[in-house]
Amino acid sequence: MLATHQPVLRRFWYPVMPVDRIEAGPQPFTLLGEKIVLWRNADGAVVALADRCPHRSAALSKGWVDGNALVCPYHGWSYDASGTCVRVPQRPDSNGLRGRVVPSFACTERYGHVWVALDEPLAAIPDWPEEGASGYRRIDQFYEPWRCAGLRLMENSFDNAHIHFVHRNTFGDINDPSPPQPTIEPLPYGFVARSDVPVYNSDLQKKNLRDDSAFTVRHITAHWYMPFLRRLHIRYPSGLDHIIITAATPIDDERSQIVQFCFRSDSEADAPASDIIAFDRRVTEEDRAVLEGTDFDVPLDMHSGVERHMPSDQPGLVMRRLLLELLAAHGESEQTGHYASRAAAE
Amino acid sequence: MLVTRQRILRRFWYPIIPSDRLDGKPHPFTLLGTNIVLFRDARGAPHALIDRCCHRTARLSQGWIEAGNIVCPYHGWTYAGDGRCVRIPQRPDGAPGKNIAVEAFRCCERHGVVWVALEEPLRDIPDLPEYDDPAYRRVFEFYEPWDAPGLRIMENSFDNAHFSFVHKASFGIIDDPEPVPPRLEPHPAGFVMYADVPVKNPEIQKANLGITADRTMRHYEKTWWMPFSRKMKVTYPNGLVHIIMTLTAPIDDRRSQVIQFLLRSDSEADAPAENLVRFDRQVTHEDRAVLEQCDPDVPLAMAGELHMPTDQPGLEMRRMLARLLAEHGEAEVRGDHAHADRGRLARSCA
Repeated sequence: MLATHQPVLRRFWYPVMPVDRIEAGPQPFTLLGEKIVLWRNADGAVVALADRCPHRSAALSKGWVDGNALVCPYHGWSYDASGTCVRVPQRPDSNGLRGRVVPSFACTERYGHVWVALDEPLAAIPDWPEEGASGYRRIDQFYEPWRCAGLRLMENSFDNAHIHFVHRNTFGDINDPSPPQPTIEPLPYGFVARSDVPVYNSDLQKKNLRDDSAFTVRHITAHWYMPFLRRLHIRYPSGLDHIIITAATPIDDERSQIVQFCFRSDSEADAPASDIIAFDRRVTEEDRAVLEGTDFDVPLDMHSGVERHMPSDQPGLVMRRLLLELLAAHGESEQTGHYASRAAAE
Repeated sequence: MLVTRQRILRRFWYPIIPSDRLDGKPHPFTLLGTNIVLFRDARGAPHALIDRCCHRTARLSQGWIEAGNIVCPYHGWTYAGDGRCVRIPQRPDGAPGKNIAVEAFRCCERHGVVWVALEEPLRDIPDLPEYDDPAYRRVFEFYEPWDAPGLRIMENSFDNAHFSFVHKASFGIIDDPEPVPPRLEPHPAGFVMYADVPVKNPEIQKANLGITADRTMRHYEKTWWMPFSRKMKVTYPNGLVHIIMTLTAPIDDRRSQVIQFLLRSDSEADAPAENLVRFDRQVTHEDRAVLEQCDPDVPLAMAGELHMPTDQPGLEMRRMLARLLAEHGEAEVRGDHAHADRGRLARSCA
């Protein structure tokens, strides 16, 4: 599937940027191949517009905010949150132009991030009760582009079989490679998977979890929110909650912006945020090294012959099937380069 | 010619890596735009597979070797040298199902180099009797990627007119820019070219050659190993033989991986290897600086570039490659820019 070729993917909310980045001024982002500019107006609203002035196509993200308007850096044409041009400095007697001349997109602020939907969203941004709840803290972890498709990261995160190999130096036990099979329960626009995963407990994790055992068990409740968002709730035997939210926001067909933060049920005194980030960083780097080597054009049709499968691939195969159903429900078929390249080879 | 678009070029052996550099680890390489991985099995025999696991497309080259098989870094699927999957760790007994495999390519070792052919080779790797002749010593020179296509490197190597300019600081005589026409003869590998070329003999070469004169003569016997390798045998007036093997493999439409080593008829006591490499490196740096700025899309037809009589060996290569394409039903594929260049050139010549 080539994400930018499937219009229905424009109808989901994606976290695109930590809010503190836009306090410094308008910021550019590319979402599903669409160049957008993010900014905050004087009323305090976060705004997403197309990053292109309709006059001479300059990037509005190179401009600045003036009250409730975004000013183009080229000739000073100014736009409000709806994309209406409210000022053309070269025509001081006018009040700008009629009509919304710059496309604007649904934009909101949640969990410390700016979220954008390019077209009318099919599903709401998930409610995570830990946000602002007493006994929980939120730790911002990563914000970086990866050269891989979002679906690869989603499948990876629900795939209990990769732990023994990819994470053999952090928490996977390579000598016991048989993966526990999760139970999967469908939800609107996603599913929840549950499994208990025995893992190796490294020295850094002994501190982070305040548990000296050589091995521990992760009780995992993992949500997949279509198309590229997950919530990985790990509960350790001590009752400690480590809840990782990861989005692979699609930049274009080949690249994803990784947005990750976590909720923890302990305190900074129990485990410093920097140590928690350090461990999750090592794990994430292990995934990244492998995933950036994969083909971004993930085949949704499991019978296409492009990839082989095994039973532990089930969560990923369910994702592929649900995405195919989503496409079909919106009158789309899977867009991919595989069939074209195979036809050329034959 | 865009090499990755000419299927017939997949039917040659290409030199991928010096044998001693392929050790216990998987080695990734891109050959004609195809990502491959090389590794040695338990007996030490080299193998080449597609660098893409058939399960979730991970790079096998990021994995490791276990008992002569390559292990995928993602889920541990394990492949033998022939591409067969021999283990899926998640299955109860580890046994893979039937017919699970990745594509394997022909791979062999000759002349101290590991070679790969993506499809059935049209011809064998040429013989190199001096490699196994005890009268010759072997001196490794370098192994590196150049941002230039093999055909430019080959033409350069058979072009006696560039010495006076590109190599004016090393052995070329800029006041003597008109080379004697070479003699070309057919050869099973491609062709062989004979020429006698007077050259400058700088201080470092006086020691390297045991020749004290300020100028000397090179008797060349250069063999083109179609498509992108060469054997350059230089005999000096004192009988010394200096053979430069320049073996190149096409990475993609722009880049080549270059292996260079020497076979010399003298001994380390006569001329330390270090000094031989130093002089040849000066010369290859001079070539590389120019070749990396040339258009990688070399036209096989006469149109598209201007020519002079000394270009004959290169033009013969182009003719032979064009004939090869025609014999296999292929047309030369060129980049879009080539048409614009041709138009510009035609106008400037008009």
